[in-house]
Amino acid sequence: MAAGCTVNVWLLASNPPGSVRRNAQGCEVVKNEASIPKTLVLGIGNAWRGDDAVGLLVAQALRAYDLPDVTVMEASTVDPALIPLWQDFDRLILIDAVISDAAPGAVHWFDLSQTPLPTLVSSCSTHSLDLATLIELARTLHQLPPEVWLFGIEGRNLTSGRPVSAAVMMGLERCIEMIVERLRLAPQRQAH
Amino acid sequence: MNTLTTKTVRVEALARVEGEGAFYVKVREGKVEDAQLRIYEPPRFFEAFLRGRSYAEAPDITARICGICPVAYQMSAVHAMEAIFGVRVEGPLRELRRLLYCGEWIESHALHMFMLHAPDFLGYADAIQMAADHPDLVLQALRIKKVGNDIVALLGGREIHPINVRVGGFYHIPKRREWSRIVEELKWARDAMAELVKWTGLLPFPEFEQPYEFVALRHPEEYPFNEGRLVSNRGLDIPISAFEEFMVEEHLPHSTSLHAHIKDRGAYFVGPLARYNLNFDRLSPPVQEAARAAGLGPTCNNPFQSIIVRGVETLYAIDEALRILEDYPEPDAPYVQYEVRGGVGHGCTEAPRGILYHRYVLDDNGVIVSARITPPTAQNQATIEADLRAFVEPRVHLPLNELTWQCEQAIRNYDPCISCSTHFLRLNIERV
Repeated sequence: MAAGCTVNVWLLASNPPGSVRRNAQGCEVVKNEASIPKTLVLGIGNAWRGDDAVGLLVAQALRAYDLPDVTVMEASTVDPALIPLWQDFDRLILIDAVISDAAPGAVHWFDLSQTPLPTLVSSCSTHSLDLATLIELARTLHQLPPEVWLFGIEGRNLTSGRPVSAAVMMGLERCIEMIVERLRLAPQRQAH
Repeated sequence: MNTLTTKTVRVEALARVEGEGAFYVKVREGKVEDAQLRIYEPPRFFEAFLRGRSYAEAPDITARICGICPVAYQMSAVHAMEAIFGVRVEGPLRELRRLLYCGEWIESHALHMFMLHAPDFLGYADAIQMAADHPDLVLQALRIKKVGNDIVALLGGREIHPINVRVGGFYHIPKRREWSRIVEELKWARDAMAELVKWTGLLPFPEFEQPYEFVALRHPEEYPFNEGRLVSNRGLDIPISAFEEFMVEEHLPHSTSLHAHIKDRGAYFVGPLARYNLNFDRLSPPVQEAARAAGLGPTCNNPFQSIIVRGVETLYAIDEALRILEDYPEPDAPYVQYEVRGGVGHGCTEAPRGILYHRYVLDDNGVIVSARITPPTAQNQATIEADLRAFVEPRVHLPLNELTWQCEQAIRNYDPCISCSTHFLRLNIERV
């Protein structure tokens, strides 16, 4: 998938763990051993439910940066069909609204590469599988990229039809800065 | 003091239900005094949003009500509008609508069966735990689900909240060649699903049957998606335009969702079990055979066995999609022409969870004057509560955790989509 495209559809790989990696069209993926890590930025949210839209807005803003080897996508719901979306990437950056006891607009960063999301933070999703569950399902099935980061922006107002609140928009800016900075500093991993 | 008959139990979250919700069961002296499925969040006012909007916007606005069954909302909306305009969508366009519905049934049923319901039967807290022990099962389920997602993505224009459906047909028709990969996956899915239906038949089911009144669409020739009369196993046989004469909705204090019942009769049951019981003879012989191989007869009154029925329906949807795609006559035009006029129109189609009824009043310019939407979960709410009453009483001696678990499982039999009926829900059981 070319960087910069908006994706509301996704594709599920059918390869079991340990088999040859294939892309969504079923073609075998051949990688250079020392290639630059491919990063997928996935903004998640509901554009119609107030602060829940912030993950989508971060993704849209990052697309304008045109970062090298970074693909930006958006998803309007959490669904197992997201799993294949990140199959061919070395690093997955998820951005979603979260609710904890922090102030609206606070930005949380979690490295989920090895450990689950802390349970005190719950994703705002109202769908059947929340994001934390989906990540752990993918981990259990050996379908997660080696590096997984979650940027959670504290939301408060999830009213249907409302815009993202001002405090959360401040968090959006901080989140973008954090992602760009961490990508700049991140070690160049060997592709696996 | 906790005894067999006096206990207080509180559970704060009802997991693995689409949306969030609560149920409340009050037991005194071993007898169930009250059972309520509670829905807290205010109604979502979609019916009010629709007033003053063009008829043409109804499919896209109502598709937003549910991320799991948007096709059902679109289909009920367009059929209601087409009834007002006197337009019939026939031939290839009608087939493509069935194909789109196949996609939605496949993805919705696969999600519910294997991610939400199967862990109950196998004793896992969730799909993650189940995936650790049964990775191949989960991977197969995800692959089957993906075929459904792909159909909706290609024909619906995108996967979530599809946008390609319009009154009279579609905005755009995919070319035959675009379907080739999906056809191959469907062929794989047909074999895989046939095995998985057998697998569901081996699950342990509680003994539980109730004298339900099942309500579903029935068509002269087909297993129902978009069209048919509303029938029941107790003699109901009406056109969908008579829905509101027979089905009554009322507000109850404990829920912000409306409770539905059949006038002068009581609660009724919609969804896969109802469709199956009223339309077994409309399933193709191989699918009937798959049902029998899983231990089902032509009727099934145990809602816990709905997981088998969903499997049978998934197999049917895969098979039906293949039938349509093997022929796939590309229509001459993506939609049928019509003239806008005022009037009242009714649409009722079979969402994965059961009949979804829409009624619209349009003015002469096609502007929506009023709208009514009755989703399947609201129709099942009274039956779910009746199940909880009947289910809990003989099991009141069970340890609390086990009883709670089984009650949640009993609710999940209905695959309730609380986001359709409202939005959030939480769980609360009390024994006094």
